[in-house]
Parts: sequence; structure tokens; C-alpha cells
Amino acid sequence: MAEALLQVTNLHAHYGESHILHGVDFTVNKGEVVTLLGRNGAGRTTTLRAILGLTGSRSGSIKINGVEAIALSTHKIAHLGLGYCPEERGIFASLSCEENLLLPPVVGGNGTTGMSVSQIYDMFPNLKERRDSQGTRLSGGEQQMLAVARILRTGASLLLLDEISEGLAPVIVQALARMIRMLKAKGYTIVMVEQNFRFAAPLADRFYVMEHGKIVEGFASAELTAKMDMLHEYLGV
Amino acid sequence: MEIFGVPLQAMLGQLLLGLVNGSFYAMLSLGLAVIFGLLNIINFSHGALYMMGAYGAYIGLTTFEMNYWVALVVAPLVVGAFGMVIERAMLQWLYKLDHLYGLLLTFGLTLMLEGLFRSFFGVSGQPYPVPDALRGATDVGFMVLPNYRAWVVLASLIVCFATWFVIERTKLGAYLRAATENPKLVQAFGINVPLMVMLTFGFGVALAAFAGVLAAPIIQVNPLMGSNLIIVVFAVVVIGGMGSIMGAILTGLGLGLIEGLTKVFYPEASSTVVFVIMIIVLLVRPAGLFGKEK
Repeated sequence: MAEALLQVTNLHAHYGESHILHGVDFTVNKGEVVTLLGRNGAGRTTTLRAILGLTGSRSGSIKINGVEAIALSTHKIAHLGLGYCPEERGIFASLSCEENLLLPPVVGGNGTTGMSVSQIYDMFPNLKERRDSQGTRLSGGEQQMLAVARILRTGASLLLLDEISEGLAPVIVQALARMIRMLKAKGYTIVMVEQNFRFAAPLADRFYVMEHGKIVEGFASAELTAKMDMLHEYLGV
Repeated sequence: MEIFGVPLQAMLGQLLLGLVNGSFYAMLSLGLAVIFGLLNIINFSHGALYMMGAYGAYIGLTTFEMNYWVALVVAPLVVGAFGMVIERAMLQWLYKLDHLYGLLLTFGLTLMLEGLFRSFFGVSGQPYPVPDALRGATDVGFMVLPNYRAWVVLASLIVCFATWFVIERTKLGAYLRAATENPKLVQAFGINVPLMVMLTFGFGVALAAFAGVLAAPIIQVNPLMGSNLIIVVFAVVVIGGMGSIMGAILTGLGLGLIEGLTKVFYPEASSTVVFVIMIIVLLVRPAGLFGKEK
């Protein structure tokens, strides 16, 4: 029986006065790759941010590895074994490439160890080559690699990846797809927010569709072809 | 020997004085720059906290017979802890607001602290003796170097460059630089940013207090000593630009030297030269000499 690593129940979140998430429910099992689909503004990025406590007020329940995280502060949530790659990548300009890579502290509380720096450099040779460059001098693709790579050495077992394929050249998107497959094979659990349906479709085990701050549909990849009409309607893909 | 009609001895003497002043500018503007970077607060109370450091040494000596060297450690710790209480109790509520609110709050705090010390100690200065080990002067050949002033310059350089090293070259500094750019993301990586902010403010304040203890034997310890200095220090920060740690250090030392030179060649301008430079820098490079243009 699959074991839930992340269980979100009736999650509400606000930014200041505006109520963005209206009771989000979804589950991610250990070792799964789950993609949140939806139009811009449907609340997918906010869902990831709310899991980490980066929104304003939030309510409901977020269980990570069985631990209730709704009332925890952001840095404590991270220590439940989360790795977060934000949509804007969040590469620090005042840090070198390698300093960016080494920045996130180890968060794998339950004995899980992340990849070593040399393993990461084997996987992303570009980052090794440019280790001394200023973080924001890297190309867009390199910055994206760096943004994902730096959460791989922390021991985080649950990765939240926001629009990692956005604005990148096809060859880099293919490299990212290979990376996701490899991470899945290594046992990482991944929640992706993706606009790029063709990137996400072959990678995910399950999909959730969001609309107006709620999950409106959830299905497994096997049902994908049967659901295409519905997806056309929701996403216009 | 003379340079432009000024005896070399007098010139070197003024340059040393300038370097001593510059040491204080550097230590204080460094603290201000670090605090502004991470907390987004223009800490007007920095001068009052420097004054508290000097009084820490004075009270330590008169009440607890604490010697200078102990005071140099204890006073910054006590004043730094006081700063952390201020940060938790007041400043933490202002981070999301405009800079002006932090400036106003710390300005009010300055008036209260200075008022408090004035009502206890009056406005006249209290003398603080130079520690025995640093009395007297050393003849270094080309000039006679007062030992205590040499120590002030040395101590300030060590503290400033140690701070620079920690911020620019260590893991802790990387956290600090990253949190200055994007505190929320750094916290999402699992770092306790609120704690880091509190400790950083405590450190900046402790640096001001350390400068205060260093200053105690040179100037009379008095409640307004910080106000006299802080305006120049703000000008130094504007000239150097808020963005750079090394910039704050070099600008502080450099302006101290320029002030010293002005005293030699045109004494009338010595107290305004910093502000003249500030105006020129603001016109030519509004972000400051070392600041990053937005």
C-alpha cells in the first residue's frame, strides 16, 4: 500500500486581503512524481508556497511524513525534509555558483542523505565549470540546474519544483526531463507545477488539475488519454 | 622637513588623528551597513549605542572596578544584548514598512537613551583613563606615535577586516548575504532567519559599543558623544554606498584621512569637508562610491 508523504487537506491561504486557496485537497505518496496542472492564477504556485508557509495566513492541514506542518514556521517545515525550487529560481547574486549550491543546510532529518557535491557536479558538469562565477551570471538553463541541484544535496526527500522548464531551450528542457527521471529512480518524491504539459505528461505518475484555488480533478497517468478532452477544457492545451 | 610649507611632524600628527577618526567612522558605518542590509532599518540609534558602550566601560570601572580589557569584551556583549531586546520588542514589526518608520523609531530611541544618560550623568564629560599598558608614546623614527591611538587604529582594522572576512568568505556570511537578498527563500531552505536577523542586529550594535569603549580614553565620556559622531557617520555611509562591506570600511578610513589633511591645509573646512564630498558623490554617483546602481 502506498504511503502518503504529503497530505494536504482543506488548505486555505491568503495574500493580505485576497483569499487565494479555497480548500485544496491532495495526496502525494512516497516515490511519486505528481504534477499540478492548471491555468495561470489557478493557485498552483500558491499551493507550493503555502505548504512552506510562505503565504500570508493559512488554515487546513498539511501533513508531511505524518507531521502536521500547518502551524510550523517556514524553516521548521523545511527540516521535515522539503526542498523548494521557486518559480523565479532564486539564485543569489551576491553568492558564487558554488556558494549557491552549498547554501541550503541539510534537512533530511530521518537519516536520508542527499547527493554529494561530486555526484551533483557529475550530473551537472556546467555547474562545476562555472563554480566561481557569480550566481546570476550563469545562463538561464544553468541557473535552473543550480536551483534544482542545490536542494539535492540537503537530504530533502520531497521536492517542490515550480515551473522548472519555463523559458528554457528545448535541449535544456530535455536534460531536465532526464534529471527528473533519474531523481525518481533514486526514490525522490516530487511535486511539480508545470505550464509545459508536454514536459510534464511523460514524467508524472499522477496529475491534479487546479482551478480557482481548488483541486478540481485528479487522475493517474494511465488515464491521461481518456482525460485529454477534459484537460483541453481546463487548460486549453 | 616640510611639505607645502607644513612641517612633516604636524602633517603626520594630523594624519594619525584622521586615521583614528576614520577608524571610528569605519566601525560605525560597517555596523550600519550590515544592519541596513539585513533588517532594512536605518539605525539612527547607532550613535546612542556607541555612547552606551563608552558608559559601559565607565560604569564598569567606577562601580565594578572592571579594567579596560574586560570592559572591551563585556560592554559590547551587554549593549549587544540590549540591542537584541530592542530588535525583538520593536524593530521586528517594522521590516515590511518604509525605511522612514525604522528611522523615526530609532531616532526616538536615541532621544530617550541620551535623555536617560543625561539625567544620570549630566552633560559634562567623565574622564576615563588610558589603560596602563598603552600609556605613553613610541618614537618610530619619523614621528612620535601615541600608543593608545595606535592601538585604536589597529583594533579597528582587525575588527573591520575580521567582519569583512566572515561576511564575504564564510558559510555564515553566505547565509547573511543570501538573506539580505531574499530572506523568505533562505528560510524556506531551513535556516532560522528571524534568529539570524536578531543576532546580526546584536552584532552591529556590539560593534558600535566596542567603538564606544575604544573612544572612552580619547574623548570625555558624555551622553551626546554619539550624536556628534553619527551625523558624520551617516554622511560616510551615503558616500560609500549601502551595498558594500569593504566600501563602508574603506570610505570610513579614507574620509578620516581626508578630514585630517583638511585640518592641515585649510582648518576652517575640516568639519564640513565630509559633507561637501557627500554632496559631490550624491550628484555624480547617487548610489555611493561602492554601492550598486539600481
